[in-house]
Amino acid sequence: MLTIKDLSFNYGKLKVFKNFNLHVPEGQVCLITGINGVGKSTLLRLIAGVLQPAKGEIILSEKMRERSKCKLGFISDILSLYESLTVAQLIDFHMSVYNLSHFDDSLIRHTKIGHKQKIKELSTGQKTILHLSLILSIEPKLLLIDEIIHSIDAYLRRIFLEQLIRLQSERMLTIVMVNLNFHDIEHMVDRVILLKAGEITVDEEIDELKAKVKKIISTTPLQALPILSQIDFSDHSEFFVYPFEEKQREQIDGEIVDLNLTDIVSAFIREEYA
Amino acid sequence: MLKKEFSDAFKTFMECMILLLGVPLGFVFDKLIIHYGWKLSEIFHFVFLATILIYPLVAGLTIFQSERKDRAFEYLFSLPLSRFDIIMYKIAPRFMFLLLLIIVSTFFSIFDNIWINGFNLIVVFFASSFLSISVNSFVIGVVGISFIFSAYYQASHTIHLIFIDWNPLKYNLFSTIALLSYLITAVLLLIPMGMAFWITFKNFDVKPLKWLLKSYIYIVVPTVLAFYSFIFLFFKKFAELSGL
Repeated sequence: MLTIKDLSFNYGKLKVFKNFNLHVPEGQVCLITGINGVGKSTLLRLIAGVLQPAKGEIILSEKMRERSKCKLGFISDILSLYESLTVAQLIDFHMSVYNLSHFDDSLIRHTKIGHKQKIKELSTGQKTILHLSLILSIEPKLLLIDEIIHSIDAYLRRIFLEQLIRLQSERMLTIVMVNLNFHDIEHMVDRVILLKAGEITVDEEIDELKAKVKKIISTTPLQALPILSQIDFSDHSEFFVYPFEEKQREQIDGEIVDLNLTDIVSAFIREEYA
Repeated sequence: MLKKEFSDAFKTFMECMILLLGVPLGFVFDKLIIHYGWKLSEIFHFVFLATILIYPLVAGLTIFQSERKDRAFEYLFSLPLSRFDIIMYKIAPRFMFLLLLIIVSTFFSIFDNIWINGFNLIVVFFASSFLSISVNSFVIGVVGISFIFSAYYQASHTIHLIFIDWNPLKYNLFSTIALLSYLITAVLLLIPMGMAFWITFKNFDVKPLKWLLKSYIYIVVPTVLAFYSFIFLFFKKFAELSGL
């Protein structure tokens, strides 16, 4: 679905990506994470065509190649929309650009968004829902979502995620999302990519990652284990181990705890801040 | 897209047309206060002339105003439109309103020479459009265009005088040679400006503007400097002829 080859990109003198490579197959839900400023949003903007790479290629699949951006939906973290337009005008504009004959406003109907309201009068959550509706109306094959889900309230977030899951299963929708909060999306993610200084440091299927990252609660230092990060308490320490291998289980003096995605990513990020 | 751009262009057009309110106001002002005896047609001529001079400048410099104001560049660039499509959709309706103004101005005989003046208005429009992406401030844009247009205007005159061997008896602004002089100057100015614009816009993204101005610095600035050098080269002769 999406292949990135030898991508390089700079902000002036600041090198963000150098010879970056990534392949996302069709139907995969890929989560990109990392500390702030690592280039997650920049990567999505490059894929969306909003930013132009200095070098390299971003190749979309054959299915998308013809007027590729028609089937590419991008929702950025800054919620870029024509704020001076009314909701109805923006929908009309969007439909004309994408040549749509019908607009599904079922998501909007759940909110109190009026069609005559100006976009600038909407709350961030309402803008997000509107933007999502616009994007979903084009029935995207590739959806790029940049850290905005959490600006929506819990009810709308659930509706949105349910719709995403339905689309993903019905139409093999490929999703690349950037997120720092994983509670709501953990169950739909297939793959986790951790960026560090413009490079991929972790690239694992989520189940594999969960099997490989463990928290070990122990009163004694752990020997010969790849410790990612650790938190010391007065009477014990918590060690985050990666990669953990099942055969090591019997040698460990301590409690081995499975982690959710939030804890796993936090462990990696903590290591970077350390 | 075209509908929105047409609506934006119409809004700009109407904003400029507000100047025409100066006609009845000027008339009333004359009748009640200054008593200069201005005729309504004279006031209309003056105000309409101002309007038609301002419109191409405003329409050109503000083609990305809604994207700048609404921070909508990111949305625009994520749409399935090529950069060329975007430019065409933006320029076409604004240019259409300019042509309308030029046509209307012929009915009211606003200009003595509609060919050259109409052509100059088109040059201002395209120069402003090509500069629009590189300036965030409207005032700086106006200053830039004034500077560029002065160079264009003076260079056209100089080329015209060169074509007629500096013979004042042959000087005729209604001649084909005069129009040709303006045409050549416009091409020499607008092609580099258009190139700089296209190179910038083709790679235009949401990065700070200062990183995108290289082509203007390397193409437009030397072009304008070349124009001024050309003018200064012949200025002595021009001054002698003009009796300066």
